[in-house]
Formats: sequence, structure tokens, C-alpha cells
Amino acid sequence: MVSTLIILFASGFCLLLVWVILHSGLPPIRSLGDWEANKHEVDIDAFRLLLESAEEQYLRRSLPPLEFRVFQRRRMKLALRSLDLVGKNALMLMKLGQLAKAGANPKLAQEAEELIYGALRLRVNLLLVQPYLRLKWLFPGWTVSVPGFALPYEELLSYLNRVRQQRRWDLERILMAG
Amino acid sequence: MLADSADFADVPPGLDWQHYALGIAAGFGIYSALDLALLQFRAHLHSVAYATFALLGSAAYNLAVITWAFYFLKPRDEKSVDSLPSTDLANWNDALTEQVDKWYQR
Repeated sequence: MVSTLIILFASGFCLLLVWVILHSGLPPIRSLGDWEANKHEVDIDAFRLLLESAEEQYLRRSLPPLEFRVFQRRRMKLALRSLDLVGKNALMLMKLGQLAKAGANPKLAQEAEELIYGALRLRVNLLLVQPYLRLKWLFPGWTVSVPGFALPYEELLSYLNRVRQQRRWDLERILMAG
Repeated sequence: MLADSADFADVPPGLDWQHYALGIAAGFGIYSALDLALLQFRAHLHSVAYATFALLGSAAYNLAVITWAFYFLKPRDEKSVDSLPSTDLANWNDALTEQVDKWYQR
């Protein structure tokens, strides 16, 4: 009986996990029009400015410590919000790329492959940038580099590159054959 | 090996309810959950015949098959895309890579 209860509890937990994974809050992307209607416009220059070290140094010098922390938290919150929207854009573009790949046009499929690769790479970068920004939000004065993630990151990027290269060869073969 | 990995890369991080993988998992999930429940009932309900449980077990499996059939036979309302939009993904990747290089020791 106890084992059954444990299994039922684990099943419930798995169901909850599935719901969390699937409940991305993203609108369904079924055409180019859906992307145009749902994409988020995020200003990349504004984002760069939010994370500019010189700007941070200037604020640190000009403001009292308490005010600096409040201000810096606001900047990190804005940067995180921007990244959240950019991440959603990347997911929508991946979906759009998959739809384009499903079509019969090999040239478009190649473009879609590049789009998916770019979006996937962005998602990998977000995995690294977002936790750091959360740390900066918690500790606004944080200036220390974080060790340890370099190797998996490089490996993941080179893996993505290898996959992209393989796909490109496959598509080129199809184009040559057609 | 690389080709297999490339197939794996087809699965986006953002799954949706229409994804085949989810349908397959749902079918197995339903069957396992019902089978477990039946096993538990069989241990406690001695008045019910064994044949009934066997039939219910088959019904649970059939339910899983119906789930799989629903996922694979349901017409998809996705249209094929004829062109792709221009995006600023490369710029964003550059901006984020700059930050990663700055923050993480290599």
C-alpha cells in the first residue's frame, strides 16, 4: 500500500512537471502571420545600456549606496524582462522554422535550419545570462566573475555547430539530387 | 551517431500538447496508471472475479491505443510556411556572448 502511495505521489509530481513544461504561455504559431502578430519588439541597444559596466560604475559613484542598490535592481529587472521576451521570440521562431522545414522547398528548409540554430544558440546563451542577472539582482554590487560553466558551454556550442554542419550537408545533398 | 543527435535537435525546448512525443508518453502514462490502480484493487477486492480484472486491464491498454490513434490520426491545423522573417537573432547572440565572456571565467 505504501509503495502504491509513493508511486501515485510520483505520478502526480510528473503530471505537474508536464504541465509546467507545456504551460509556456506562448501563443500557437501556425503561420508567418502568427509570428508577426505575436512577436515582441525588444530594443537591443537599451538592453546593452542596462548591462553597461561604465554606466554601472557611474551610478555607483554618483548615487548613495542604498539608492544605487534600488536603481541597479530596477535595471536588472528590466534586463531580465527583456531576456524573457527575447526567449519567447526565440521559441516562436523555432516553431516557425520547424513549419518551414516541413514544407517541400529545400532552400527554405536550409534557411529554416539556420533560423533554428540561431534560436537554439540564443536559448543556450539565455541559460547562462539569466542566472547571472538574477544574482546581480540579489546582490546589486556584484562584480565577480563566475567560474565553472565554460567547458559545458563551449561543448554545447560546438555540438550545435556540428549538428548544423551535418544538416547543411544533408540539405545540400538533397538540393544536388533534386 | 551525429545523425541521431541531429534528429534529437528537432525537438524544441518548448513542447506543445500536439507533439507526437507527448501523445506517446500520455498513452503509456494512462495505461500504467490504470494498471497500477487495478493491481491495487485486485489485492483488496476479493469479491470481484479475476477475469473482470483481466478484462479491465485490456480496456486500459485499449484506452492507451485510442490515445495514440487520436494523436497520430488527428488532422493537423498547421499550414506550411512559404517564407521566413528577417530576425535580429545574430545581434542578440552577439550581445549575450559579450556578457557571457565578461562574466564567466574561461
